[in-house]
Amino acid sequence: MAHDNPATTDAESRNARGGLPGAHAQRGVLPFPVFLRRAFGERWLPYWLVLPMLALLFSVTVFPFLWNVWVSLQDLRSTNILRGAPFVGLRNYWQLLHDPLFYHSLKVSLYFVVGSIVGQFTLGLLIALIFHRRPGAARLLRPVFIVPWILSAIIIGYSWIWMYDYNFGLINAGLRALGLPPVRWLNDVTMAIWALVIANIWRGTPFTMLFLEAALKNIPDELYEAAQVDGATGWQAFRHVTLPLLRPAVAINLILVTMWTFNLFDTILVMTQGGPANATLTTAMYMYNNAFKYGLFGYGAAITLVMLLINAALALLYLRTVGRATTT
Amino acid sequence: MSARRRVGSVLVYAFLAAYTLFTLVPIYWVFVTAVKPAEEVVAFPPTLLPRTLSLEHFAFVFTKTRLGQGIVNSLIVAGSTTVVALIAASLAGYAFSRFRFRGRGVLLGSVLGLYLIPPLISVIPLFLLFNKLGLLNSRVGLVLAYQSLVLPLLTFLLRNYFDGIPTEIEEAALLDGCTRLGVLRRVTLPLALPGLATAAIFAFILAWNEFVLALILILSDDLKTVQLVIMEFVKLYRIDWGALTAAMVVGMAPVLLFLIVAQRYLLAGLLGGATKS
Repeated sequence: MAHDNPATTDAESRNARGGLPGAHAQRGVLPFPVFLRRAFGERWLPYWLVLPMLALLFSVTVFPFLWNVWVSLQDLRSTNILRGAPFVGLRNYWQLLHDPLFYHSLKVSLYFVVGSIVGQFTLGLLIALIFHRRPGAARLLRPVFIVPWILSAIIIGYSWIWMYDYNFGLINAGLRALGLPPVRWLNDVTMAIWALVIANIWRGTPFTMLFLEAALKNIPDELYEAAQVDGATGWQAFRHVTLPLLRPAVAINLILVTMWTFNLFDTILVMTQGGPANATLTTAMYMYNNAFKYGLFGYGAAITLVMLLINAALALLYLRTVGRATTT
Repeated sequence: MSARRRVGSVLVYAFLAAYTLFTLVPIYWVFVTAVKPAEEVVAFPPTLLPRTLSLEHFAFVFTKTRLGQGIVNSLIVAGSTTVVALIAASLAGYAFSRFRFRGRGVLLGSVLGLYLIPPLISVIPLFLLFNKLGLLNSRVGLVLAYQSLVLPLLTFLLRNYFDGIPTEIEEAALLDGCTRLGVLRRVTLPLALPGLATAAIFAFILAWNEFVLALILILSDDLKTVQLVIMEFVKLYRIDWGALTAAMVVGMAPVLLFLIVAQRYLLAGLLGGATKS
């Protein structure tokens, strides 16, 4: 990783090899067999230290992931889960490629991701820039603005269902007060996805805000002073100092948020479950419905693996961007 | 110039005020509904400020529903998740920070990769695996499953924190005859307390808020977490918005409390996990 600090590495690697005398000299309580002493010595210590973490992660993410590949090659359903499911090879994937609902879900996901990101990024960048210039406002408002980001999907989902309620919701009350006709937000085929996008902008903007604010803090003040000495106006300093230096952080932020938004389905599950008439059926929601509503685990597993491919492409983009950001 | 500045300032503050409203109104609407008496909750048109205050919904959800049980379950699950993750992640974070061992880069990279790969991928096999192992519908199973959410993040958070602690004190302790684990326990961990607090708060909130895995892995009513109990209000009583909003207020209370009393740690956690790689 990028952080390897040449000043400390030397001393640390000496420690890692057990080079410090007396490190365990006083621990001669019992005459351990030599191999045991070696196994618990300094050389192997880091492996023992990472073992619990790796064992846990292996059993709850890596192993299930590998099993997922196997499941996706079977016609596993809730009805044959006890008897054992027939192996069907790539049939789930073949079926997926000819599934019009899958393509529909990709389109809905695209709307959801693009809408959310445009909103979250514009608002997040604006607030980050304002907070960076006005620390007083930042101290006061930052804790308020991050509230939606730390609430649970259940709370977020029901809060917005209540806001969007046709009769008693605050939004329609506002529309009526202005003499406008009320809208059936979550029950309307064209409005529902945008209603979800608004709720998601509400939820996700704080992350982009915090992320870009941290990135702005990393831009050294001397650069602005130099720009000022050279007679740059505020806008010119923003255009020629802030923006170019912010670009790597922006790229990382956009990729991370794209992945999260594409995979997100908790609030959708609470608010619309993909309805009305599949208008909010994102790919992640379609996976959930197939596996846990219709009990088609094999088909659902195939969808998650196709989603994983899309994620992997985005992650590669992410790692390449991070790599470029740290080397330049 | 200064007039233009002032116009700019006004625009900035108008924007901040508008965004504050956007952030707070949905939460306000939940809080205000929770304290309205039942007939006012469904008054038409809705009242912005409650005409009369009433705690009847809170009394209802605590005496007539499973909310209390749900809170206990969530405290147990989120607390255990935090303890398990904190132990595993601080040991691993320490190793990644202090030792240069073979395979370190690959392992760190894989943990980062697991942080990027969504937990969604493992939902189906986890369900099937737990079904086989008899871990379905158990708190132990849920705590194990939650490690997939918190461990990668916490490992990175703590590694970054340990990186910021100078090694000289540890080396002095080693020379004085402390063992490596003794150094970790007596010297490094006390110094890393703020980092551990950040990690703990973060793990607790993530586990407290989670509901998709709980929905899939928990089947019986008496094991349901707070989030699942809140969901029940919608199915059982159609939607009794007074009771539902009261339960929501209770459900978000711990998180808001953390925001008020431990804001610094919370912000450090929100940023630490994502910005440093």
